[in-house]
Amino acid sequence: MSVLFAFLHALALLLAVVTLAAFLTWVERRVLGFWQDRLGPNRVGWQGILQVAADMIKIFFKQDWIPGFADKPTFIAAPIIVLASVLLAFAVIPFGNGVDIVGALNVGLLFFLGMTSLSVYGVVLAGWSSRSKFSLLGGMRAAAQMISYEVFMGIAVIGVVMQAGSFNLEKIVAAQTHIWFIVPQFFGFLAFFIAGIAEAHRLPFDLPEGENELGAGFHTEYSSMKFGMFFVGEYAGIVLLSALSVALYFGGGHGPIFPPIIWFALKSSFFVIFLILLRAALPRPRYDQLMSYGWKLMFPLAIGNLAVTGGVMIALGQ
Amino acid sequence: MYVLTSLRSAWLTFKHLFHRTETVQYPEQMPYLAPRTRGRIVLTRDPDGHERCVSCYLCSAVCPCDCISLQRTSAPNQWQPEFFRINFSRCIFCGLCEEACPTSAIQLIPDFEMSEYNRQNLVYEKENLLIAGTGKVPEYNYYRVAGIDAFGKHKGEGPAERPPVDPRGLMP
Amino acid sequence: MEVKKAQIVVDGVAIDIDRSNNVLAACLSARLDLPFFCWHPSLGSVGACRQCAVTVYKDDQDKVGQIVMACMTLATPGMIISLTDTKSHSVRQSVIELALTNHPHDCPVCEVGGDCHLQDMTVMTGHSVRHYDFRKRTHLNQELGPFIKHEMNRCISCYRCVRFYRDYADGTDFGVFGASRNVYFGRARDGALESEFAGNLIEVCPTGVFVDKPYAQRFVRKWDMRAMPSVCPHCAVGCNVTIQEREGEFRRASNRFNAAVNGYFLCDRGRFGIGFVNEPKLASSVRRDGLLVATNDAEARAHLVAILKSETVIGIGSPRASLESNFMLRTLVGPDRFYAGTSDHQWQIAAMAAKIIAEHGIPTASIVDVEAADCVLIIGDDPSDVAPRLALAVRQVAKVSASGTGAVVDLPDWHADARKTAQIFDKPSLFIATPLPTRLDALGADVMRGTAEQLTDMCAQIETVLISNSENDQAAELLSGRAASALRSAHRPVIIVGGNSAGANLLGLAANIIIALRNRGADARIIMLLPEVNSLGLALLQPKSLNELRSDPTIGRAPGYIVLENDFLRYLSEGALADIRGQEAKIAVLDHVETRTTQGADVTIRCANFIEAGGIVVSAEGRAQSWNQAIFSDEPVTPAWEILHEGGAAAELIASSGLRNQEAVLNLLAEQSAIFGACVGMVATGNDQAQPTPSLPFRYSGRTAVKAHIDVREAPPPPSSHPSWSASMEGARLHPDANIVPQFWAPGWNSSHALNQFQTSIGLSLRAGDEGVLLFPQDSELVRIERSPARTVSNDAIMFCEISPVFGGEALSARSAPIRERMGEAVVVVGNVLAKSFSIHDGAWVRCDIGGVSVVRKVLITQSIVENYCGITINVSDEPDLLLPHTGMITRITDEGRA
Repeated sequence: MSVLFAFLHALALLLAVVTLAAFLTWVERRVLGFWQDRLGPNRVGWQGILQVAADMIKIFFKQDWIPGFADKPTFIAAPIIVLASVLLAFAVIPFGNGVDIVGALNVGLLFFLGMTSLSVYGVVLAGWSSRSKFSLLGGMRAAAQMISYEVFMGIAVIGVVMQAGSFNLEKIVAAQTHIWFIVPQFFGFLAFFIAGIAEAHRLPFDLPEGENELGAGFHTEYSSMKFGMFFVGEYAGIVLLSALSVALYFGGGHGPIFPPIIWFALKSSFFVIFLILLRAALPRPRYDQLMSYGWKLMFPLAIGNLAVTGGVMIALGQ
Repeated sequence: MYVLTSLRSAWLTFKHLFHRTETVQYPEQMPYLAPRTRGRIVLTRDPDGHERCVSCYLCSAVCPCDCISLQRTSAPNQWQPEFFRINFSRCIFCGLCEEACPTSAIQLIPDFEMSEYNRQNLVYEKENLLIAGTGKVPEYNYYRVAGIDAFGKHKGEGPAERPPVDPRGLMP
Repeated sequence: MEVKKAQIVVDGVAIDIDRSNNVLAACLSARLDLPFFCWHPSLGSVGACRQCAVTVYKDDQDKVGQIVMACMTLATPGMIISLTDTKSHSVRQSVIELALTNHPHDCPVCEVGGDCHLQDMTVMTGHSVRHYDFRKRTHLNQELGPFIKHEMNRCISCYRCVRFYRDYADGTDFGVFGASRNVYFGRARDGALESEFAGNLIEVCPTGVFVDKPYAQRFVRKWDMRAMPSVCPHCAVGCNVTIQEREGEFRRASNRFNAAVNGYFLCDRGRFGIGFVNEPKLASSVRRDGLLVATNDAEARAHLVAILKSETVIGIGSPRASLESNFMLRTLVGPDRFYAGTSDHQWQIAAMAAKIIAEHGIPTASIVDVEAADCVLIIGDDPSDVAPRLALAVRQVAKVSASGTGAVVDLPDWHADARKTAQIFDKPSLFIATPLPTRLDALGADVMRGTAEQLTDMCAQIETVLISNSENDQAAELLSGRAASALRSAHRPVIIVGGNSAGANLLGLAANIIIALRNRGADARIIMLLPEVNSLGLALLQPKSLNELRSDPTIGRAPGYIVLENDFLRYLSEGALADIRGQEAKIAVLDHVETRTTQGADVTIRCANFIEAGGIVVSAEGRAQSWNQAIFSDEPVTPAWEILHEGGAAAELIASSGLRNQEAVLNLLAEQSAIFGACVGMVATGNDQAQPTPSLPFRYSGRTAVKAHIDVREAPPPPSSHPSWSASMEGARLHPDANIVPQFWAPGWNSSHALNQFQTSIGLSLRAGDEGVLLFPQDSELVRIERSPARTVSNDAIMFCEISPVFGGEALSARSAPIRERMGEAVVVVGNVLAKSFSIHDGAWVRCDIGGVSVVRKVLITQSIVENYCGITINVSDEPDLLLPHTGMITRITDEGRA
């Protein structure tokens, strides 16, 4: 019985995340529209809310074409890896109110980092198996970018782990009852958030796609729902990044009056919108700028943050 | 530094949420089209009611998508198109034909609602293109200023012409 | 700067000069943009238009300079000039503004717009704003016949038309009238321009005064026409032409410069005769129950296969079909059954010509050689009719010789007016010996009228005098003596000989004179007048005469005749025709025009004409020239050789593979006969270009609309028949240095003067090389030709000789509508003595009975014809060939009798 319940619970969460990610595509277009003095999609349903449904129908009925020159099994596996790794990472997010699946996992944060590393494979394999120039270039960019930024993402969150004394995300949230980690770990948050954008290859760090120069980067050759999986995976990644930022630095579900789940949702929405705003506002850097920014600025910053945190903790004798 | 300028850009962008949108909700709301809007192409007539087109082929030459085709009639000394065809399914409404036209015959008008279910219906012949009036250029009559005989204007009858020379005359 | 001996400095850049040329030609040779009007590379300079002003500096220190007209200034080594300085630039700009004061506002309704030297020059000078604000002078137009449209308002008075028409082509019915600003270029009254070179006015005129009339009636702009290099099919000179078409319809033919063949000019037969391709064409048909019924190509070809399977198959070759087609036919039927589709007389002439060139090694003259000749002897026929472009070259001999007389020393060739004056002191070294009057008589030539016997005697005498090296005082009274002494002192003599009137024998005798002259050290050359474009090519394939066909006993019952692009039934006598009918022969004709033969055939198959498929022809000079497919229609037409190959393979006469393309056919031909070795390279598919040359100009318009009324979806471009060409705009754009040039067109030079940009130097060969290869080595051992016994003709009979008029004199031009308008009535030319004895007057009607055929002709009386000889026009439709020369009788008829 409990197994069935756990399964249904997981399925419900899965559907919720996927639907949310899909819904986010509409939100993004609408909000981007307003920021660019346009209206955005407003024709399908009330204020265009059914645009998602229309897009879904369309993308399912598109010709699902695999290029003859592609490496077929890998080509099919790549989007599955991307979507699955992102969705699995949601298992450890402590939404609060018992909505989470294994929010109390003792290696929760490591699990998240592991899943993020896994999604690199999806992107790289997509680029490689397409066997076209643009795809391969996109895949190689993705590999370099994601592995570079993953390094200091891990280092940045160590500060939080040290302060909370656990990899368990629920415990990390619990450790923020008095003060959100954004205050002591401000620079750590900065490094984490920027690395997160790069990991999700969202604008302004969408160089693996880079449509101006690479067509559509690693997913140039993808069509129909296989492309859809990359698409949903990217938006699920945005939600994941937002949720994790909230859990690690903004006190998770902590807040007055409302139950934790509401607070968690509100705080996450803020980050989602902020990520969209970054897309509207910032230009894409050059690839060498991206790399030097990561290795020469963010990496020392994260190391410094770690050292200072450790030093302060020793000084305070914790 | 990067962070601050990025945040400033983000803030400036965010403020646009409260600006008025530029989008016009066509077709419920019709946009204003200036008289010089480049829409559907028409062939006009001169003030005397003759076809203005002299089939000089300049419009077809300048057309970047090669969607204008015509043939001058075989009648001697008559410069009119035997057929004049525009394939609007190829036209990009760039207006270069209007600019090239030396007689103001070809003009673009503010009508862009030309959708068809059958692409073949977008092929317009001279009969479909000709209008009764002079369009945007009311006065110009090319044949009055050209040097050839046409439409009852004989040599020397134009406003800027002297009567024909008598080659056998002895006056210098 | 280091300036070499043969260089001048133009705006700080040293350019090479030809020391005998003027500054304008030097600048244009260096591909500098210097505007001009009255100068023409072939007509020379007169310094009238003042357009080519440049500044000449004394030396490096001179900063002021002096304005001179480039066309009137000899280019001297070390000269320093400037084209870009403000002074000469503003002179050129003002001059063109003055030229344009009265020029009408006509460009959109002018056929020359976009192909106009005046437009180019205006843009080149930078003139754009008009200051003249008064009324423009106007002129009334004239009706100048079916070839040329007159629009006199556009004239800028550069005088090039009269200089070409009167001074170069010796026309008399066109001139300049009026004075000062009122000058008028035209005829005294309306009427067709008489000169057969009038069509060149279209290209000579720098603007739109003279317009190609047939082209104006199916007008499109230059940029809207595909252009392909081709060879004129109307005579054996083989002038190079550019064929322009749009959407499968021929639009116009224009001159294509070839330094060795036609230079800058064409004759009107070529320019306007090519219009025959737009006339109704032969339809494939099969005879059923005695009637020819139109059918599809597949069925007609099946019938061809059936005929090819007959026990005896006879092939009739054609002098107007390509070498490939003739050779394929010969391969199918075998050399023993391959006959020439010409009259026996023409066969003899062509066979003799082939023998003289191929076996006896007599060097032939090109048009350039004729223009450069210092003595020309014309024997037998008038080149004005048979080879008009050659006659135009002969007309220049009279003018060129003037500079060699010493009357005026060191007169540059390009100094046109001075040359014209110097001409007065000289008599051209031109000798004419023919039975009939020629149009070249009026050039001031030494003329003799003689019978066939007298002409052969004359040739033999000249040879004897030249060999014996003795001055024969008695002969000085005769033309033979005067000609012999002129030939003896000449360095580059040319003999033009035709056998139409006096027999093939004459060709051999003329060749013997050449041998005698060459043995004396002169560079003597021969030109033999042949009627059709590939007469020599056919003769080189050694077909048998139609006479032999009749006497061949091995032909059994029901033989099959394969007739190639030929009206061969015309050339058979009544008896021979009856024989063929008696044999119950089956006749298959491959042709593109309807003839008497196609009407009498059992199967007719439509094959490609000269613009629908490529081929090679051999001109009378022995020059093999290839033409290209110039027209690309939706339904491609197969050339005759491909139809024959397909049929031959189906009838199992030849292997089905191996002769699939032109190259393979010519390879086999070269294997069998080494003289054709050079032909293979002309069509070789081994293409060293990375991309094909596009045949459509870069600004070809209407691609997505021209057929949109049929189907809005665009069809792919037609396939190209040759890898060097693409049928679309795709490929490597033409470049002045490219080895294939579809048409002369360069940036800033849109008119035919763009040619300057493609020549190695003004007036010389194209940088791409001139079209054609001479098939015969010009330095082989010369072998004298033995004289065959002369014909004996009874003295009282009247001898009829052929006059094949310029317009309609050969097989195809009469089918072109504008040429038909100019053809005139069929006449018989009668001497005044003979006319008196028959008491007939000029314009009377007579019946001529010649060898069993009676024809009616109008009488034209002349003073200058040999006794008992008559000239009679041929190639009149609905008449069998008269098989001339032949004896016959004249009977006067009344108007009722004529009806």
